[in-house]
Amino acid sequence: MLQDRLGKDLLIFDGAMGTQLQEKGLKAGEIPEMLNITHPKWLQDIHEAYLRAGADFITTNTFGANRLKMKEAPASLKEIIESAVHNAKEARKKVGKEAYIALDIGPIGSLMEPMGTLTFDEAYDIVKEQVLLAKDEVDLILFETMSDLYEVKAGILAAKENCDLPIFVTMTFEANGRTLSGSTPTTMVNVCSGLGVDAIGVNCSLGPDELKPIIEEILSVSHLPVMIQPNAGLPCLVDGHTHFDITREHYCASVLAYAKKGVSIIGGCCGTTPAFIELLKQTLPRQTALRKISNKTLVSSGTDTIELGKTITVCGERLNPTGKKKLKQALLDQQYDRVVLEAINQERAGAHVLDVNVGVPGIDEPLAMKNVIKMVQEVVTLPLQIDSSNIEALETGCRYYNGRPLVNSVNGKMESMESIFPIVKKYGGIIIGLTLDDRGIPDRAEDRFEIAKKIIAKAKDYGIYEDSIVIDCLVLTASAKQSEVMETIKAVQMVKTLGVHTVLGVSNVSFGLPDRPLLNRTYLTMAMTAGLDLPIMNPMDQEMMAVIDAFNVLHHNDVDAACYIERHVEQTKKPPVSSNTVFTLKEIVMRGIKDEVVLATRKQLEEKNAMEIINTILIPALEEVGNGFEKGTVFLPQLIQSAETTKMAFEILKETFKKDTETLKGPIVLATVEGDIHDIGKNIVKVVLESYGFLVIDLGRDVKVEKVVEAYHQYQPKLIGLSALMTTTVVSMEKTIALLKQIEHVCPIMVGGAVLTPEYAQQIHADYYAKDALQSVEIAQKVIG
Amino acid sequence: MNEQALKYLGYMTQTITPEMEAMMEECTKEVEKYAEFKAVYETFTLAHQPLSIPAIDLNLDYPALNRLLENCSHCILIACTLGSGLERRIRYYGKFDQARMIVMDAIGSAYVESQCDAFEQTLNLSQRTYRFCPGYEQTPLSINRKIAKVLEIHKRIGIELSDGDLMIPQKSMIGIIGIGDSGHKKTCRDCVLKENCDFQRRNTRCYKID
Repeated sequence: MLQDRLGKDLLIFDGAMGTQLQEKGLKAGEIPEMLNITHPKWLQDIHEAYLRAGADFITTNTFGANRLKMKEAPASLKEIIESAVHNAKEARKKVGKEAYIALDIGPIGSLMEPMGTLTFDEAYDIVKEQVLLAKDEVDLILFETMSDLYEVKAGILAAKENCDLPIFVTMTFEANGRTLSGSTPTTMVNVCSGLGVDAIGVNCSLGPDELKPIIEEILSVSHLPVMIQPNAGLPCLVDGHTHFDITREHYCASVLAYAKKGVSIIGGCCGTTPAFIELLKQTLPRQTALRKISNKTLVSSGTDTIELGKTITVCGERLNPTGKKKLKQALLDQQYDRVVLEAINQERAGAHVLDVNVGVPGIDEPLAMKNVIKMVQEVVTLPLQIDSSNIEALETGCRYYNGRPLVNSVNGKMESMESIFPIVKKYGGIIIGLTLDDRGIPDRAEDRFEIAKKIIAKAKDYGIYEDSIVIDCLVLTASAKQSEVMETIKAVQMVKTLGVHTVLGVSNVSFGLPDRPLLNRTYLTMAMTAGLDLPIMNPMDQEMMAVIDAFNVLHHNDVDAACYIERHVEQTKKPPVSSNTVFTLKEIVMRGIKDEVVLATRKQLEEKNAMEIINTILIPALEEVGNGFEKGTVFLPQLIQSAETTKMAFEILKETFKKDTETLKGPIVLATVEGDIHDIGKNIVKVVLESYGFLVIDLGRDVKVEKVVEAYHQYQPKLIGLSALMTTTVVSMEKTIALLKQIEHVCPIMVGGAVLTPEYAQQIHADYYAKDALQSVEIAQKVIG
Repeated sequence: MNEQALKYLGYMTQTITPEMEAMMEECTKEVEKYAEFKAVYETFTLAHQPLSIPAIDLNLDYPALNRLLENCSHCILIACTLGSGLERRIRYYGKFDQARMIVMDAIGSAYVESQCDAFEQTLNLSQRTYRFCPGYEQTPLSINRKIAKVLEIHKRIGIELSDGDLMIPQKSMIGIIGIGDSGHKKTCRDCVLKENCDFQRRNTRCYKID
C-alpha cells in the first residue's frame, strides 16, 4: 500500500512531460492533452521510459485536462482523461512492475476571486469533474505547479469529498520565496496539512539549488512527507527554444542533499528526462531520512502564518456587531464596506488576527459569514478567527476561508464537541475551547481546568491534538463577579501545563465600571504574566497595545527590544497632538486633510446644527474645489481627497440625524457592468456623490445584468449609474439598460466611462451621460434634488 | 513623480499641494515596493499578404499592423506584468482611500510601461518598431488570447485573460514588436476616442510622443 510507504521509503517520481512531448513533435500552441488520443504511443513510450528508469510514480498527461482549458479541444474531457489514464496503465502493464499512477491536475488556468473571476465553488466543480472521471483507475491525485493556495483548497476539498485516494500537493514559488498569489511555504504547508493531504512540497519554479530556502522551510514545518520536483536549473532561450542549464549529475547531487535532510518523494519538472530519473534511482538512498519537527500552533491567512505562543498575538475584536448599531445595519443591508473598513483599521492598528462575527438577529448567518469572510480576506492579510454559535455559519466560514482559521468556539458540552470537532478536523481549524459545560461556567479554576482536560481528551477521538487547541478560561466582569476574576488568571496558569495555548476576551473584565481601559490593560498585564497567548481585545486602544509592546520586551519575547524601539522611539519625539488646528473646516475640506476633519467638524457642531454646516461650509467648499477642477486648477486626486474628507465630515454629522434615510438623498445604485473589471471610475463617482450627501449603493464591478435589475427592485433607487471602460463591455451596458427599461416607470439611468460619448449614450438609451464625477453630481441633483 | 503618470491623472498646470506631493512620493515608493516585474517573449517569422505568424497560425491582417510591420521579417511577441501584489495593494487603498488608489493606479500604469521599455532595451534590438498592443487602432483584443496561449503567460508570469480578453492583473501588457523598421510612429488616427479625447483636449497624447 502506498500509504504505508509514505514517509518511510524514499520514492521516485517521474520527470518532465512537456519537454518529452515537444521532443516527440508537440508544436507550440497545440493542446498537449489531445495527444492522449491522437498519439497514444508517444505517451505510452514516455511513461515506459520513466518506469524503466526507476520511477515509482508516473503522472498522467492531464495537466490542463479541465473543462475550462479543454473548451476548444476536439474531444470530450471524458475521452481525454480516460485515454490519458489508459496510456499510463498500458505502460505499467508492459513494464510489469509495481508503480503508482498519479492523476495529474494543474492549475485551472483562470484566476480565482478576488483577483480574477473564478469562484471557489466553480473551482471545486471543475476539479470534482476531473476526479470523478479518473478516481477508479488511478492510485492518487497530484495537484502540481499550483500558484494559488485558495484554488488548491477548493481542489483538495473536491478530491476529499469525492474519492478516498491519497492527495499530493506541490506548488510553485517565485524567486521572492512566495507563490504567485503571495503564499509563503509555511502557509502552504499549514493550510494543506490542516486539510489532510498526504504529501506536500514544491515543483517547477526554479532549479534545485535556487529552491534551497523554500525546501528547507517546508522541511522545517511539515509533519507530512515532503515532495520535490525541481526544474533542471534555470531556463535559457537558445534560438527561440527553452533549454535548462544543469546536467543530471549536478541535479542529482543537489537533490541528494535534500534527501539527506528528509525529503521523501523526489522527481523532476521542466527540462528533466528519463536519464535524470535513472541517475536519481541510482544515487538516492532507499529510505527517508528522519526529521525532527516541533509541534507549533500555526494560524494562516491565504498568504501568511502566525505562530501562537511565540509572542503575544493580538486578536482584534471589533468585527462583531454586538452593541454596534451601524455594523449591525451594514450586515443586514449587505453593505460590507463598513465591515471591511473595520478590518483594515484593526490591521493598521497592529492586530495580528481578526475575529469575525456576523451574528445579528434575523440575518442569514451562514450567507453573511461567507460574504464577509470573502470580502475581508480580499483586503487584509491577517489570519481570521471564525466566530459563531451557529454551526452552519462556522462550517461555511471555514470552507470559504482561504487559510487555516481559528475557530471560535467549542465548549465542554458533549453536544457542542460532537458537532464542532468534525468541522474543525475536516477544514483544519485551530479550535478555541471554552471552559464551560452543561453546568455553566464553574466558579473555581480547578473545575475550569477539568473542562479543559475533557475538551482536549475528546478532541483526540477526532484526531485533533494539543497543537490545534487554544483554551479560553473565560473572563468574568469585576463589577458582578469580583471574587472570581482571579480564578480565571489561576486557570490560565493551570491550563498552560496541558501543553495548549490560551485565549481570553480581556475587555469583559471591565463592564459596568468607569475608566474601562485602565482595568482592561491592568488585567491584560496580569493575564499575560500568567501565560495568556491570545488576548481578544480592541487593537484601536493604543494604550493597551503599548502595554503588550512593553510586556514583550520585559518577557524577552521582543529580542533586543527591536519592535518596541521601532514603535516607541517616535512616541517620545512626537509633539503632543494639538486639539486646535490652524485651518478652518472649509480649508480642511478643500485641502483634503483627513486627519483633522473629525475634530473640526465636532467643533463646528458646538455652534451650528448639521444642516447648517452642510449648507454653509461643506457644499460651498466642494463647489469651489469642483469649479477649480473644471477650470483646470485643481488636480483630480485633490478633488477626490476633498470628497473623501467631506464624507468623513458627513459621517460625524450623520450621528446627529435620527435616521439615515431622513437626510441622505437617494438612493443611487452604481455598478460597473458585466465583463468589466475596471472600477476606478465608478469608485470616484461614488465617493464624490457621497460627499454631496447622496446615499450610494455600490454593486461592485463585473455586475451581471440580472443583478442590476434585482438591485432596482430591492432598493428602489431614484437613479442608476452604470460604468464601462472598454469598447467591448459597452455592449453589456446596452443590455443592462435594455433589461432595466422593461420595468415600468424605472428610474433614470446615467452612464459614464472612458470610451463612452454623449451620442453613444443616447444610442443605447441611457437617460444621462456623465463625462466625469462632477457631472454625475449635477445629474443626481437634477433627478433627485 | 513620473511625467507619464501625471498625464494619466489629467495633470496640466494645476497647483499641487505639499500634502498631495508627499502622497505621490509615497505612492511611487509603494508601487516600486509591491511591483514585481516579470516578462516573457519569443521571436517569430512573419508572413506577409496576408500578414500572419504561420508557426502559430496567428492572423495579423489588420490595417494598423500591416502598416507597422510592412518592412519586418520577424516580430517579437512579448508579455509582461507587475504582478498581483501591486494589484492587491491598489485595491486595498480602494477600500478606504480613493485618492491614493487612483494615484497608485496611474503610477502603476506608467511603471509597467517604463519597466517593459527597460526590459526591451536589454534585448539589444537594433532595428525595431514601437511596441504595438492589441486593442490599439481598432485591432481586436482577441489577438491577446492567442499570444497568451503561445507564451503561456498564465503559467509563466501569472497573467490571466478575462472573458472579454482583458488582462488580470491590470498592470500587464501584451505587445508585438516588429524587427526591422517601417518608420511608423504611434498615431491617434484609428483610435475610437479620437473625436472625444481628454488627452487631445489637453494638447497631449496618452502615449509618449517621440
